Amino acid sequence: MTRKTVKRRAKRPADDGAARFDVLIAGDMTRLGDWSFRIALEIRNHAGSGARVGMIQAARPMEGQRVAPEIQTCVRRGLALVVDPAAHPATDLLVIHAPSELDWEARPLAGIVSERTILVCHHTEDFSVPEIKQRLRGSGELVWAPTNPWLRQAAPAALTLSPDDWQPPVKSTDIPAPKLRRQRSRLGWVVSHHSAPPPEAVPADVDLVCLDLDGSRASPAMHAPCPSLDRLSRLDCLAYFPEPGATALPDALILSALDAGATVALPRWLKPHYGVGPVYCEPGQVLTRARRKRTTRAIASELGKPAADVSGAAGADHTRPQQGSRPRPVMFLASNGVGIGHVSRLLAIARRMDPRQPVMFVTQAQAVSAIERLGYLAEYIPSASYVGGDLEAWDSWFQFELESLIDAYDPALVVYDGNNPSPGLVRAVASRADCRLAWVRRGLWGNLTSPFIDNARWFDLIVEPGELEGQPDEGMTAQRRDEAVPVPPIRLLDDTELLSRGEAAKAVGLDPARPSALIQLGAGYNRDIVSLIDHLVEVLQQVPQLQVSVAEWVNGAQSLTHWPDVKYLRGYPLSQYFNAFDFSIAAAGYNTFHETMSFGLPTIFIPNRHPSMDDQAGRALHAQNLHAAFELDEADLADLPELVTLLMDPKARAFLADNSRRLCGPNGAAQAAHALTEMLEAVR
Amino acid sequence: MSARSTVRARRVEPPVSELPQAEAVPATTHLSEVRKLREAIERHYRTNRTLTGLVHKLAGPKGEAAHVELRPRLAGATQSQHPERRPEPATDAWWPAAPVMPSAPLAAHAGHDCFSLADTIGDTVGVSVMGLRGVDLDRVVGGVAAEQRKSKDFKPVFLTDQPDFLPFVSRGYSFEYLSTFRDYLAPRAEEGRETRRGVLTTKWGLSRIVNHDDARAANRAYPPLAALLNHNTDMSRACHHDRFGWIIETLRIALSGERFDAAEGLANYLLTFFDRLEGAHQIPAARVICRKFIAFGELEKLRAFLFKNIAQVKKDDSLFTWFSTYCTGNTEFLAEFALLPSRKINVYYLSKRMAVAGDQVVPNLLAAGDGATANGNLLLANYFAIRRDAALYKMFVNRALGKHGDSLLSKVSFDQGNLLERLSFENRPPARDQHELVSVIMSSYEAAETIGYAARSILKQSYGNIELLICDDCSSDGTSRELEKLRSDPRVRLFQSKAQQGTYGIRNSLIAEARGSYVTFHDSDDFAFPDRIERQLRFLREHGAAAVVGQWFRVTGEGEFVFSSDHAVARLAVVSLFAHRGVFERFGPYRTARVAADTEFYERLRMSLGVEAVRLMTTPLILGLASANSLTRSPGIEATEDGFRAPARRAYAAAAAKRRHMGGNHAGTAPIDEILAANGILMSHAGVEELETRR
Repeated sequence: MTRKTVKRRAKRPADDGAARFDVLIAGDMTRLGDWSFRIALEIRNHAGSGARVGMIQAARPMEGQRVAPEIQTCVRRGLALVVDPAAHPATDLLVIHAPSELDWEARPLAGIVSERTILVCHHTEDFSVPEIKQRLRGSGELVWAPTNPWLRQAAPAALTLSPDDWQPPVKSTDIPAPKLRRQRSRLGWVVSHHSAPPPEAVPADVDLVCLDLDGSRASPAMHAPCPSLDRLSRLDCLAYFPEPGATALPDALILSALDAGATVALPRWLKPHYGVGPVYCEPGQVLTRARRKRTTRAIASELGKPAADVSGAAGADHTRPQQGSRPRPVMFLASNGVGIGHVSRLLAIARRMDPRQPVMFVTQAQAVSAIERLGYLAEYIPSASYVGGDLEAWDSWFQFELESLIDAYDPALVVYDGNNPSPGLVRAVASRADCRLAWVRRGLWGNLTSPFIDNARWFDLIVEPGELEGQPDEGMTAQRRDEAVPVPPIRLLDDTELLSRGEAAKAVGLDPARPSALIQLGAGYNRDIVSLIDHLVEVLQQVPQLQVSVAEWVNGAQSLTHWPDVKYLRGYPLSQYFNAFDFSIAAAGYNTFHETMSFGLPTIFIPNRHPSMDDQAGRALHAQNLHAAFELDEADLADLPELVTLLMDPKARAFLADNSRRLCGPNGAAQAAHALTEMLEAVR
Repeated sequence: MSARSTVRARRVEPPVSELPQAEAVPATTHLSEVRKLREAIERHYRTNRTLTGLVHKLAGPKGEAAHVELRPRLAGATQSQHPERRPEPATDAWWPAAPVMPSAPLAAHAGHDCFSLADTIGDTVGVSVMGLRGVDLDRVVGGVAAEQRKSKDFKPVFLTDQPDFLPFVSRGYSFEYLSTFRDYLAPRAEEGRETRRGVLTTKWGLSRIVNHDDARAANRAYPPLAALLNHNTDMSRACHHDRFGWIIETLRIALSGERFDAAEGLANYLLTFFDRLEGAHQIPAARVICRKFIAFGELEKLRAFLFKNIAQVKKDDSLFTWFSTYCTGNTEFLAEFALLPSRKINVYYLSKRMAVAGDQVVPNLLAAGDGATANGNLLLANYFAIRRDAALYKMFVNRALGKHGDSLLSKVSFDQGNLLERLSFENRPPARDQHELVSVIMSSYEAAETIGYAARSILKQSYGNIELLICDDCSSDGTSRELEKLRSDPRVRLFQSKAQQGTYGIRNSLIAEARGSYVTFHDSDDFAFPDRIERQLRFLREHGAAAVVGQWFRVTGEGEFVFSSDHAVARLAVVSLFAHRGVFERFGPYRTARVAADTEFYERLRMSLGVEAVRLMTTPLILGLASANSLTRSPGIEATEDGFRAPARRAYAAAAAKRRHMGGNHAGTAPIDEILAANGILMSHAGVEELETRR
């Protein structure tokens, strides 16, 4: 296109130009894998050069198939327009991918007027589409462009071939270099019908990611889909070992991985096509070669050479999608637990995000009111425990609902807090190529684990909210702590946000001059809190002058107003009113525990020992060992009166409060928010 | 048995979510054991509910503990921003961009009441409870549960838009929360909601959706409620960088929507932070703060605030208007206040100072000539009223009326007494189509001096097919003697109140007596334009409306028009409500308050029927007498043109507005009546009897 042409077009009114394009790309946009990566790269390249790009879906979509995420993202960001071929669009250049796979009977390209047409050949069949010239009558000069030298050799002599092979236009800045701390290696292994399988076992510090390029992104064994193009930046090594003679090669994947600085391991016979960048070896040598290269990079980095130079990244970014002035939101996704710990941690982080960063919530816990009261927008998706039937059906609906929300709100990052990152979650986020995924993963899982723990590999960042120093943790996450960024315990409030005793007592309706105790045993979803409270109230009401309050959780399943002369508190955040109380009797869930400890509210913990992925007993016991609280088993309630008598002594309370405050460091929420922001910045 | 012992006597079973689900039971377990387990859970749930009920019953109403609702008090909490609305992604059969919906539906919970039947109930029904909250919601969910216990043939899935899920969770039902944010994101909210319902129908395999929605929530056409709903949806804008913008808007909506209960706290908040507000917020904040001061009659605070913020006063018309009116002497005129910062005439100020300012300002106003506004002409008319120059007064009033295409004055006299008594309009030709009878209802109390012209202005209407029902409310000033003089007109029906009951009790009684197809009202001290009925009926028919209200000019007995602080005279005249008789039968009766029950009725009508059905005419139809004796100006219950509401009125208006906004049974009476009684403005029905007509 000459400069003159560009100038003339620029003057054309927008409505007149609606059917005129610089480049039209036709193909099956619903096909996933390297195909969609390649088309997305082409769109970015053309749009980045200022061209008006149109997209034509030229194959009939299969039932239940969606346009590939990378391509949808290009359309959403305004880099390309979806074109109706019936509107007779005109273009300078028409690029048709894999003509043999198009639905020619539907005459998808009949109305297009083009000055030049490139037929990108991915298979030998693409050279021999019957009556192609008649079907593309208005398409000007026809040029066949093979994608690699082996296809070029197979091309019929009569055809006009492009002088060079048709390569995906990878630019270094398309794939941002990884900037995050990470100790585990991530090995991506391309699996297809005709390639060598991945190793059966990998070392403990390696995450194996199978990239299924043959269509379905969901690889059941891995519980997750093939990553989108942008996520390749997180691979340390990519391996692909096709049988000799394979012609459909994942060029976009391989070149992008190379460009992002990953080690790419290939069989030697591919060297004529990919040149000197990759490592050429046997499948069994991949891990050794990758380690060697990683060490070299580490040394280069130590010597002060910028990592980007090592990976060869340079140059200005012309293809970056056009962003509005307002940043895309962060979507906090809280799973449903026995309390609202997941919600609380996310709220704590959200409150400490950059003020210019929009945030919103999706919750599976019934805590919409708590979220909205803090001023955040909240959507609700019922959790599996609120649905009958099997988990898989729930997960597919969860995926659908989450995808719809991601479509509606367009988040740049989804931050999950929960213990079960189900396939639906990972797939939903992967449905958007430009959406990141982070996990706020509390430790202390106890004996239980999640069937989806391995999905950790699909997260761009894992943040682990800490426990008290020295907390023994034998749970599954403790064994995988190397994949997480640790932060100190996360609390919703800081010390300064608590109401004074007078204010709090007035709000709660207590006499600040008399002692008062708070019972906070959680929502009662896996524990009989009614009988327990009954017992506690009986003991506490025998203490002269003592005022008794019972806290109801905002997501509690029942109202607890059964006892006379007791204050019932409902609302959020309860901890803001802690100063109204002299001591509390509490479960040892993460939030209650860390709030009572850090705010110095002397507490008798009655941990919930029912099976859940939260070792409350371990947490409470550790606090007792540090002389900061009492731990009381439900079986030992006979000891309660003695403990209460002790806590009625101000000196004992002061001792516990001082100890617990001393053990608690800064609030980790700000650090977690910083880690999320840092990651967003790294990929922006 | 004490409440305590009842609690201890039962062994409360863990909630359902903790117990093993059918899927978790080993395959070897016989199905009947699963069934037994489910039945046991169901039994325990019922026992639980019964016992809880008993505990509360035994404890009595005093023992029933109320929750202390804790709210976050977090200064500077960050907030969500409003989601960004984007164009819909292109999507069609060939470009499938939307998420792919799973084909297999989910299984809803059967609820604790029918827990044992979870596997046998096949039918899942959506129950839409949008807009319902609190006890109303609990009642509906309880009703559905009762129906399910009886029929045992359906599982409900509730669709709600309120965030308190306890009514569903405590009964073990599945539910979906339909946030208004997603409605906002859809190109059209209605469409978005319908799409969402469609999705949920597939998701849960709903056979149908039963509608228990609160109709008012759906009626977003009601402007005060729509403003509030939109504003609430927009709460997310209360992000740190525009938190004050949001609060200013909240206060504005609270004042314009008569939510005086919310205004005090918001205004105090803004006052506290006023000095820290960024520039763009200061004037809007100052405006709403001043409006609040005026509405609450806090003139000293208003003056102090305006003097303190004189820099803002000089920039803004509204602040300037208030400053000129309230912060300067009543009997002095300062020329620098004659023009607003926008260089427009400070009509409100001039109208208040016309007696002292007239000679200075009138030449300028006159220079504006015919190009002056209707309000300018009425201001000039005020000047000539003071000078008692009937000819010029009539000329300027007619200029103003002519701009509305209204009837023109034919005769004005300033001889003595009330001007409205000696006023007449040019004759209008009779209306063409007069086959429908219109009932005009009038109540009178101590109105001997005004009832004559008020009734005559109705009887001389261009639309003659009317009946005028007048009821005296036990006056002692000879009003009944004046009424006797009207008996000669066969269209007049006279009634006598059995005991003093206030104007709204009389209205209720007379509506029942009315024979017309349409009913309207007229106050005993107001003067109706000669074509008022004709115009209203025509407007009603042309617009297919159920009801219509017009405007009025308030005028003093001396002929001076009363301006409001927005520099205009024309005001909504709720008394002119003109409607099909059935409207009153369906939405009545009026509350028997001493004041303002017509406003409550009118707003209720607009909300129930929508603004398309209750239309507003922008032309004046009535000259309303503004005197110290009129109900609206009576000390203690007054409402003034500057926005002041006496405490009793404020309390009433706030309670009525809150009920409209927050839901609840809006036809019910108890809580609002209690507020009225506490403020001494609650009357009671006494009934009326018709006096024999002398023919």
